[in-house]
Amino acid sequence: MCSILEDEIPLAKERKLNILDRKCMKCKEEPAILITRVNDAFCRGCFQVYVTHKFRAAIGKTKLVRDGEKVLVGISGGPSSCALLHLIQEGLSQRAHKKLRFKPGLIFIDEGQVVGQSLEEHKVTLTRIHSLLRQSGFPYHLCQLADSLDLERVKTLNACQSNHSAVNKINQSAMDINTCSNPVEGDKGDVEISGQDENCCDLIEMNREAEKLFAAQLGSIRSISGKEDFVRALRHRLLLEFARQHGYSKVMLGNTGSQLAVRLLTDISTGRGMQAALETAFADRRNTDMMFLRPLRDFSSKEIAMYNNLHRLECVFIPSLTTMGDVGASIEHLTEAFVTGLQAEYPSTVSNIMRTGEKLDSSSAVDLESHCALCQGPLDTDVGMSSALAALRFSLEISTMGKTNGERCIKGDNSVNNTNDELCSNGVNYDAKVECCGKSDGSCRSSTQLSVPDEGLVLQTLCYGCRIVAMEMDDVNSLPEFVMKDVAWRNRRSVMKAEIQDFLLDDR
Amino acid sequence: MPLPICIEFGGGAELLFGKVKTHEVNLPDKEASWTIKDLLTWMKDNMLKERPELFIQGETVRPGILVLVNDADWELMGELAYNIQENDRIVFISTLHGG
Repeated sequence: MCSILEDEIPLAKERKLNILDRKCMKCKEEPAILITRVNDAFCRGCFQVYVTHKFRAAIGKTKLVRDGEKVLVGISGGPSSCALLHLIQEGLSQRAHKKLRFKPGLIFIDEGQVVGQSLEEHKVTLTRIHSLLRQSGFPYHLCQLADSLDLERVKTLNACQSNHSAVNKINQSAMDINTCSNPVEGDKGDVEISGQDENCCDLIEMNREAEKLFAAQLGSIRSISGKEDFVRALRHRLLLEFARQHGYSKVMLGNTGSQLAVRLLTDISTGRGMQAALETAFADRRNTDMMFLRPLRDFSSKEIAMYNNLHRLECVFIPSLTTMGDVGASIEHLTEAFVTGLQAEYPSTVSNIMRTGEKLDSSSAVDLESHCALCQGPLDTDVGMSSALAALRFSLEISTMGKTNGERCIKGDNSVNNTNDELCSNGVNYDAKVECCGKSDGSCRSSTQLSVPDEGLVLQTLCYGCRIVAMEMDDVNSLPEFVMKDVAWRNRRSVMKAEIQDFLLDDR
Repeated sequence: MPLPICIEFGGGAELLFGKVKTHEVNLPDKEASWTIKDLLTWMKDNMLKERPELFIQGETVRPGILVLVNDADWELMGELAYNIQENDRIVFISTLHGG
């Protein structure tokens, strides 16, 4: 049932043949314009109501977004982001029935460096994105993916963006279809296009150093799947940091159901089953202080494309690593081809996958030490000796035994008490306390503190999926700064804990 | 008489057609009327610049490409069997690579 041959015509649908000139199933009067949800035909008006209702219900029934809350909306320029933006605008407008009441801020992360866009293409893309963001009327920010390697700077980014968003007046003529009142500015009056179009490239403060660093790190990952995972982890971290620094309490993303179904299967294929539930849920709570929401979760990509077409929304197409690639370029690309092909023949595929995914539930990580340092997902490495993880470790050891005389090894589980690990207990250079004063705030600057952390130590803080990515890199220590900081912090804590172990009361 | 129609691309599909989103074409004369199936064959021979397998699979479009005829889903018009009328607007939107 699940096999699809290369040249098989995907017309063997399970449902009955379509009758031409079908009427809408809701109002039964207007001619239908779209078939969705297995075999339901909608007319234009009913489709609009259907989409709006589903969007509002997704946000409303979970009661997670409160009135006046600041929400960061991630806009990538693609069709789902544009649809999300439009739905938010409509939902916030005065005319809306029971209008939405949160305060959105938009953010665009420039990932042109990932695919190596030329300067010309880059400028064109940025110009279009900029006009898209500006026309929305909401405060917006632009940053680069490389900024995730230099998180300190994220705080300062606001300073130059807020000037532009303060003069953010709505361009009346451009909004003929979608007139919406901007709750921030409040006036639809005089039109002024702030003459910023030509200088939009200056709106992103290019961080050349970080760019170089990022290029080096990305280049050292060999497989495209690994690169995609790495980019995704950086993107998540950047969104998280940006939201924290600028006072947002939630982040909203535009992933559609079809994309999330692909995501679920890809996660399971790449050893990220622990995070599969988080990545596809409506509310991603992997970070306790910041929630990532996905209100378009119940929409298929077809519905979104139709919505965009009806409203003539301009999307900006930005190529990714696997655009124009072979089917097997990356695991995600292959999975996408599989799911899309299956969906064409069996229209309930995506909803089945999503429904099954909903039943997964991962235990939420409580303390900071049980997060993966790279992707912030829960650590899933506290497993027994006969697990795939143990096998991976073993083979790594065996294969590097000749190189370093068996000194390298990775600790078994994450805690200080290494009860699981029988292979070896070596691997921590940090422990030498001869010169360090013992304080964990880095003030003594002894040479052991500055020594390069052992690879095993770094890998210990990563989840299984991220370990695979990190091990592809030539040097694990070239991971982003935020990862290395986390590693150092955890190590200091475990050293400190070991020191005061005798004084701790065991409350188990 | 040649049949004038408008073909548009979206969602990245334009990359396969010289990065041009809107094409006004005149389909050459034929005794039988033009169906979408004929159009696809014609596009493959005349318009597709590269990588035909990313657009066409077998006799129909690749899964993931949404086809709209005058703003309506082509499934409601008969899919491949729809007879193209003069000045029809046919849109091919790639729904892969969301965002």
